[in-house]
Amino acid sequence: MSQQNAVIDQGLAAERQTEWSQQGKMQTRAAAVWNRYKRNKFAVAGFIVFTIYILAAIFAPLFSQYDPESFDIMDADLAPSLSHPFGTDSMGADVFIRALFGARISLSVAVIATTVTVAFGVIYGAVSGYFGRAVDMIMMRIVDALQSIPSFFLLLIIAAIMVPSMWSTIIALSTFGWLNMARIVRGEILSLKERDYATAALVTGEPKRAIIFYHILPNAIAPIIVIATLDIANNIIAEATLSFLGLGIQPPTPSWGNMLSSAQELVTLTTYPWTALFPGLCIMIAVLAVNFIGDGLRDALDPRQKNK
Amino acid sequence: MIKKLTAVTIAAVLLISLLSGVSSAARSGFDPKKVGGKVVLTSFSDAVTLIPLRANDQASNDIIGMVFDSLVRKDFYGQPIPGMAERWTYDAKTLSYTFYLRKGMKFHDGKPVTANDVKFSFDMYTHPKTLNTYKADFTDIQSVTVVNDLTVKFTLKKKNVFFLTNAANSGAILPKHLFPRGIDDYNADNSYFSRHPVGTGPFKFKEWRTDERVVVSAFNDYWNGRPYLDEVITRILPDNNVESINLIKGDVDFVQVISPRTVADVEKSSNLKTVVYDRGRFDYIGWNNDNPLFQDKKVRQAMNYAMDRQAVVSKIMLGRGYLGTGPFHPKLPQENKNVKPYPLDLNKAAQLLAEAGWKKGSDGILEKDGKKFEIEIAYNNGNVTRPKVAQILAQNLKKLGIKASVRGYEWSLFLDKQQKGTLDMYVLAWGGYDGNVEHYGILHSSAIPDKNGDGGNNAWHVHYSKVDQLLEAYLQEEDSSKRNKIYQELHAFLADEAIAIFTHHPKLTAGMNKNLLGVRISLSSPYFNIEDWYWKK
Amino acid sequence: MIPLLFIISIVSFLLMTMAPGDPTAMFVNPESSKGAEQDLSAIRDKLGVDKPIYVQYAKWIKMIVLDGDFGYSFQDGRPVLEKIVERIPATLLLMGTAIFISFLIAIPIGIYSAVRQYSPLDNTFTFLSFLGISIPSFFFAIMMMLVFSLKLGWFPASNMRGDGGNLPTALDILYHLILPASVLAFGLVAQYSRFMRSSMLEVIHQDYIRTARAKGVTEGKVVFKHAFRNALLPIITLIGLQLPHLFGGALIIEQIFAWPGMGRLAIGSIFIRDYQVIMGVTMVTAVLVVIGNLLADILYAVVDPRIQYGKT
Repeated sequence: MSQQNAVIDQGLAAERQTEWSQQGKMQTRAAAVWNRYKRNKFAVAGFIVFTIYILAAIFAPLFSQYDPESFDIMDADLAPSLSHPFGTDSMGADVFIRALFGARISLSVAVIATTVTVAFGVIYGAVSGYFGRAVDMIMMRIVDALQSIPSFFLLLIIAAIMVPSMWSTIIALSTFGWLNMARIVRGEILSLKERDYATAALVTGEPKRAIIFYHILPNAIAPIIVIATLDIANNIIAEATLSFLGLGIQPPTPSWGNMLSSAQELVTLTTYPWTALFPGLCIMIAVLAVNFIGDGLRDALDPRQKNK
Repeated sequence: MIKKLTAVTIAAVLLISLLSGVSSAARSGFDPKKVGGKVVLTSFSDAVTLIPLRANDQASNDIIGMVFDSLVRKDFYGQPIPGMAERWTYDAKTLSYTFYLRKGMKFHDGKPVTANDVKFSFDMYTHPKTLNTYKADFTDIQSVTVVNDLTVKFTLKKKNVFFLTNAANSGAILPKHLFPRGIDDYNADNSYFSRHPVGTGPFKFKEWRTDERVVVSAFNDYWNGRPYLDEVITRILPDNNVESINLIKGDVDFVQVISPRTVADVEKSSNLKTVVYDRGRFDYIGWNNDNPLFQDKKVRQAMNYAMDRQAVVSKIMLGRGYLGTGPFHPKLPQENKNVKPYPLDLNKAAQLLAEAGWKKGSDGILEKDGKKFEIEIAYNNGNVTRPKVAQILAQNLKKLGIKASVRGYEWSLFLDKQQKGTLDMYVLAWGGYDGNVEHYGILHSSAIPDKNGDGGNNAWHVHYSKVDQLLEAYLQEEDSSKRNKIYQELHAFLADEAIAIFTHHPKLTAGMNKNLLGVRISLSSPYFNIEDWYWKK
Repeated sequence: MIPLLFIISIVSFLLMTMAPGDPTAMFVNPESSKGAEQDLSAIRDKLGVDKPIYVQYAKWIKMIVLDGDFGYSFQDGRPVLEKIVERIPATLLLMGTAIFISFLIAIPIGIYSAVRQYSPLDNTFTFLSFLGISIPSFFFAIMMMLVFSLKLGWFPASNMRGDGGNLPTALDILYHLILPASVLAFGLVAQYSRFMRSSMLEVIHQDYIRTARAKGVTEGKVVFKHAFRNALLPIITLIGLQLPHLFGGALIIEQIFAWPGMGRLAIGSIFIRDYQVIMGVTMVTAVLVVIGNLLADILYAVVDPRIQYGKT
């Protein structure tokens, strides 16, 4: 799952380098970033779509004339209609309501897992990068070790350890999701700490912790934001895939992943396609939106784009 | 029993003598024109080992069933008929069976079959160190002695009315000459033999590609004449969906079970046909009867009245099934026809719960002694019908004021919890039995598993001295009609005690190529007569 | 490298043995009326799974270090290494083909997109590649199977070989390979083309390219002679990064297409808690990846004369 990140980060790592050292220009920089972001139509669309998703997830209970976990087998496999805008599934539950509540679960899982991995990855990477030498060596060896196992395999093992639930899914996604972030942040820190302002702070006798968190990290914010965004996208997909293998969120609690995977029955796909189509679209559009946001941010945060 | 056996023996001898005039290598009605072609079957998982009685998985046992043969076979109704033994006698005084082997039988490697091989095989199955998975079927064997090259005598420790259909039927004959180290070779996990078996069955082993296929081919020297098919290929496919896709596309010729909803898709294809068949099995929603919630019979009966069995059969199985009344298939004589399925009756259920002391609390949830009635109905992930069965019950329980939820578990976790008795309620099935059904292993109080899940398969924790007595008496009764009466009594007792919700007995649907003929599916096996399958020419 | 493998072994061993399922569960079949009376505690004893975790680990590591032995599968008692080795060819074939196809497609797309940045075609490629990483692979795989196997009947849906039609073995395997490899490649093309694009953009903005342009070198020459060669460097790193996936196999795709590779072995073993096999797959993959990364480093040094090993 993190391979996609790795790929995009490669580009990032090469592109960053310049400009971010000048502090105190945050305001104007933010404005400049927003200006550049606005120019990317995909990114703006992504932002709007994602905002709608978040709102829908938050206000899901307002829509529910049906209970997302209640079923009536007598109403199974109904085609989309006014009373069931997305139809009903093979258990007779309303697909629209489930998709709404599924958004809550799926997005929460992705966002919470990402928050954990960002926090841990940033701290880990910063410590490793700042202290360097033996500390760095050992910490990075551990990352190397874990990265040499296929990430999805690790994810599976973790997911299989726990009794599947929303929290087990979050833990599974978080446990090894931070590796890539740690590596990138460490690289960032390594190059930033040699800059003048960092050495200056060191000379004035500020504690190392302060130097890392107040002087160096804010300058590494661009790649962190971008990777975090892409992690959200990856986590949405990973949740679906875990559900497909039966290790994710367990029905009848709705998640996009388990809705999509329980619609993989041959007859459902050929005869009642809406059961698969709507959760599938939900996932695709959400992931697309988040990826576009990430792409937009990357371009917007990349100083060289200014020249264009 | 002796009378019946004698009758069978005489019939067998008559049959043999009739046949011997024709040819030793062809069964009655053998039609050489039907010979030829291959059939592709499917399996969800790869075989594990091909040593008889070492495996407990379906995939391995299906292949073993084609490659190996035993002294006694079972007919379509599960009655014992001559197999490698052309006849046998029973001496009630000494509790001994004497089997007379057919002349001229060969193993697939060309070596002759002798009484020594028979003795060797059963020595393996009864050896103190044996890893025989079905050891319990063989515990009553005292000794096996070779009388002469073609005669072998079994002496039992005690009377066992199922000896012919259990031990003598499942005890496949092994080639002694390929087990030089005896029990060590039999127990070896990874021997050459375990992946290249040599037996005496209608098909000989040809090829096994891990996670891809197992291929067996016709054995020309089979004592009952070669099978019509030249080859049987078992392909390993991951799930029901992919099986159906392969069947419709024509890459697979026979699929044992098509899910009810998929049947229509299969029937649309002009190259395929479907066959509905009965399988000796019961589907149920079980619980741990030692769970305080279910210790009151009234509560258990209320659960039964809350289950809409008709909806299961008509809406989920789409009409393909029988309403469940107990652990006996309606096609079996052990079933008690007077036991009627619990009807859906929520008023009755509510009344029973009230009598048991459950009162509605302020939130509408039933309470007793300050404890709320809250249960989770578990099923294993990946199964498409069980979550729906669970859902039907949960809906009705909610109407009664019980906080019911349903939850899927990953299979190995599900098994673990089910065996340890920690699931509130679970949807499961038990099957593969025929007229020789005996439920000692799942209903006797001595088979209740401990907290670690060890010690038996009575995971529903049924313990009544009456049930134990009936189970024991059944195993000792030689007269089959009296024997069936015993289980009919058991059936009525279990239904009244409501030890579980017996939901239904499904009728299964097999899908196959339109031109594949001769298929007969018995209660216990879809490959019952695979040597008689043939292609329309 | 040794400490690295050591870390991996400890981490994965710990993880596995914490799993709630019981490896002896596979010896129980609650749906069959046969084989009910097994002595599970004897099986546990034989497998050694009732011992404390550190005892199990010590036993395992001793076996590996002293005998170079990965032990035996709980499920069928076959040597773990044998089970893994027989599946490596299938996985390498599938993943190798997929990666090869995707490079073949992704590199030209990436170059074009970089050279004609923000052109309509670049935007189309961008959109398609985002689509490629936005569809869950299992869903895409099943859709492709429905269309190309079931509806059109062009390709077989499952397995690596057919049942003895008229095709020679190599062609038969190729015929079975096309669908799963293409499905895998679809996702990979999306990633690689984005990567190639940004790598190419990077190079195009470098001074020496500008200089070359200024000197009047033709655009084609600039792109292919100067830019392309330099942009290839990160691709080598990428191959290194892809190694875990190459060896670990595409678990989901192998599972859906019933491809007899390592991924299927891995998934199967996780589900039945076959600890020895899970450990074996993890370790073998890790070793192969470490070696692969080393090779990628060396290759990098060969291609790029600026890097000299021994200095770092």
